[in-house]
Amino acid sequence: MARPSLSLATLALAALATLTLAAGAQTPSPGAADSTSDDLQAELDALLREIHGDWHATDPFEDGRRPDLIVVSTSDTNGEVAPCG
Amino acid sequence: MVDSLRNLTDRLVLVDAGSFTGVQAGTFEERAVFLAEMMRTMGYDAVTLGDGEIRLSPDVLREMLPGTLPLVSANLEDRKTGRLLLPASRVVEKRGVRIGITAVTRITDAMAPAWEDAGLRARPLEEALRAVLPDLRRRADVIVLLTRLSVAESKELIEAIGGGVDVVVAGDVRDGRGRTLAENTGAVFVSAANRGQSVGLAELVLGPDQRPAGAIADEIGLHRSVAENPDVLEIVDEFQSNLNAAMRDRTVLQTTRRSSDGEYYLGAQNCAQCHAREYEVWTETPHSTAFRTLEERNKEFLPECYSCHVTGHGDRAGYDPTIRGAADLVNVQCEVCHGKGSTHSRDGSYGRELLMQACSQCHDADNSPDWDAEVYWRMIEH
Repeated sequence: MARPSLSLATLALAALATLTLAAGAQTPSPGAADSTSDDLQAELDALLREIHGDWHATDPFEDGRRPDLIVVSTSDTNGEVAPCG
Repeated sequence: MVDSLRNLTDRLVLVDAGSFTGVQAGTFEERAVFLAEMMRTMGYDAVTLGDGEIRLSPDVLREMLPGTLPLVSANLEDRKTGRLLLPASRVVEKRGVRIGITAVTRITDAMAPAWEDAGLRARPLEEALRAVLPDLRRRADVIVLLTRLSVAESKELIEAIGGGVDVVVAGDVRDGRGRTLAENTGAVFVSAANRGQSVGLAELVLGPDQRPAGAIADEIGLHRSVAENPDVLEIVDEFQSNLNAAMRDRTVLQTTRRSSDGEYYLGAQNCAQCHAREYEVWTETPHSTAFRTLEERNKEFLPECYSCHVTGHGDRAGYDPTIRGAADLVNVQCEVCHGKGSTHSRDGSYGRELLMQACSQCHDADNSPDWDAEVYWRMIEH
């Protein structure tokens, strides 16, 4: 087996350079200036309903409360970067 | 999805429960490094390690990943020193709310030798959590636990330690997954499907003291309807192209096609000499251009991709990009379903029994979720 022309380190550096260039677009948003405003809350409610589908009712906690904290999780990515075809 | 949520709330916590490293032949380490960089750029708040990561070389596992990601683990320790490999926990603040994140990894029996070879082992899960949680609870308002367990196993663990956790991300999806609401443990459990097919999403309402006063959780499928981030797509495409080129340059063309049982593939052009009508039908099917779809995406040298776009992958006589003349066996040709033609050309035997078995080798739930044998057969009927 020949040595790879692009070593692991090279690939990582290439990825890093690309990511650094794109960092402006990818840096986490600081969030809304006032995320407690009614408008933003309504937008967040709508987005969560869109994400969840029918399961997420207009009143998910059944008492009028709205989420104060959201935890998004991934696991077992298993090296999947993008589908093949 | 993450971008959209972050545009509307700055109280979003992003975590990964490990095993982002796969088993892709020859490319798993490059993929893991890339995914780690992506998680760093996306601003993950905490990540833990699973069995997948033990495949990585020592310098990547012990140096690169800890320098890139906010790794946590309350129970992975160095066998020699008995010290924890990573910080047991970390606390992040989201607009006045302190979120404490910790993790425990279960080492599976199958991977235990690899962990031992790497000089690592796992402390008992309950013991590890009992050691870390009291202090973490003092420093945080909300406790998130990442586990390498299924949802059911995670529930047993939390019950065994008497609660004290608010959100449990169950990272091992092999034994079942799915959303579940807070139960008698006081925690909400959530998991995500493997290979990035879904994410877990937990929502919490907080009381005046910033402690959880209610929680719901869901598993969100990342279907095509979920918008992709164009910047991320560009980065991914560039990485895949680089990886494909690297794999191409690693190949050393050999001069003979290896054989296994003495039989060999004839190739569709030879089949056509006697089966012209069937060959004509085949040329109109997606099977006949399957390899081109990879070439167009710069993925034709990635084994996990080309395996289902060529003839005879995995058979010593089948497609192998390092073999001179392998181009004869690109695309999903006659012999994928009918078996190697050398026997048939001599004695007329016919590999009919292989027909439908062959389909399911590639048309599986991951790669062909809409697969229906009757419908798909009509697309290639000959």
